[in-house]
Amino acid sequence: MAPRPFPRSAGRMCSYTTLLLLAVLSGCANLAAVREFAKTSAATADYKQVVSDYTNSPVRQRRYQPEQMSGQLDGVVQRRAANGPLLEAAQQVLVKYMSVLGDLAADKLPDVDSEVDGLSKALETAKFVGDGDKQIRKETATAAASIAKVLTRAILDGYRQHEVVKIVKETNQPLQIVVEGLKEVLDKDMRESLVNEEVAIRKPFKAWDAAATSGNDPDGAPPIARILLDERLEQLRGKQANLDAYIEVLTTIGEGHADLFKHVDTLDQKALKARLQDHSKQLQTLYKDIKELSK
Amino acid sequence: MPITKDQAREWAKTFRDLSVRLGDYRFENWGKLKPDQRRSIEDAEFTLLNYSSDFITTAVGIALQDMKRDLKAIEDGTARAQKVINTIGTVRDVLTVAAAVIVLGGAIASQSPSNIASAAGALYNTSKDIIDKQKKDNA
Repeated sequence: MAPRPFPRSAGRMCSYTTLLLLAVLSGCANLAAVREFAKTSAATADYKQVVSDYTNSPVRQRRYQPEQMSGQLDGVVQRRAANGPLLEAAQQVLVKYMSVLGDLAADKLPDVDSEVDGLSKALETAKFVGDGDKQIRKETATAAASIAKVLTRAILDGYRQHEVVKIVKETNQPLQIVVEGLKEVLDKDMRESLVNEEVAIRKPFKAWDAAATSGNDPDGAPPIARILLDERLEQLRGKQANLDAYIEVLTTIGEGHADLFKHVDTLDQKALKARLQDHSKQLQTLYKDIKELSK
Repeated sequence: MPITKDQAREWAKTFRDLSVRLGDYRFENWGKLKPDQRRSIEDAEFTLLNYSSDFITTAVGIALQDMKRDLKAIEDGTARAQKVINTIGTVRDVLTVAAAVIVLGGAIASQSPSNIASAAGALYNTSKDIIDKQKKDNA
């Protein structure tokens, strides 16, 4: 049985293909800025430290509270311990989304050149390519393979871009709600938790001060009590600064994604790329600050 | 009726304020209070402060519950992006299998039993490798 003949008008077909190729290529955007923003967001959105500061706050308060409070504090410790994994899971959803969005927008597409070459070779092995009347000429097959390589990449790139647009559009609203919800937890609840811790720390030092003053010792113990209190409060200020930095990280991620959503149909726009790069830089700076604070 | 996160936050502040006020009273009247009176006030202060911490925990729990539906929507978006990445990755496999199928087609056309056997073996191995790889990726 002879192989099925290929049309001799393959040259004209190549011209059509070239036109198609140009059309596909013109629709492809450079997603490098999207990738950079998404990957930087994923790397900086990790707020395990502030979650741990929050869940461990009642544990730290134990040494400032009277012994008989331990039962009540244990209850708070247990309930916060249950909150912890949920808070980390919520943050992981954001991290995972930004990370996969970054992967999808990555420059690197699978290199299909060797597979296309394998396909050309298979056509030759199966005698579809050759000098016979019913075979496709070798030079035409080679040209077609070269076009196929570029075209496959262009189609993959176009498909990828189309999906990035769709995913960003569909995810923006829930992402904004989650970012705002987490910011609220950090700004209100975790901050209030630190305020409570400060109140708990102050009480024994104030009692020391009051006892010394009442015992007519205003110059001995009170200054020492103040120095020690300042040291304890300094540690709390570090935790508060961490909260501020993470709130800013979440704000930047939310704003960057909102920007991406607003202009996702014109991903090639220079202004959008510049803004996404700014968001990425800002996140990197914040990340450095957080690292410094955690030292 | 279940409480809202805003109510829990409000109560957290109220209980803490009461704790602070009681403390201020204890410190300002230290010399006038008997030790057991000071202890009672101190216990009340910390009890109120721990209630406040408990209300903060409640507010966080409610806030997380409120986010549940939106977190699921983000997870769906992530799963979809992952699927697209996988689909792009399978293009290479499709081309590899296509090449093996073409070789088998040519062998069948040549009616050579040894060529057919060798091409069929190559197609089997190629397909098996790809299926194994996909199983590994999905595991």
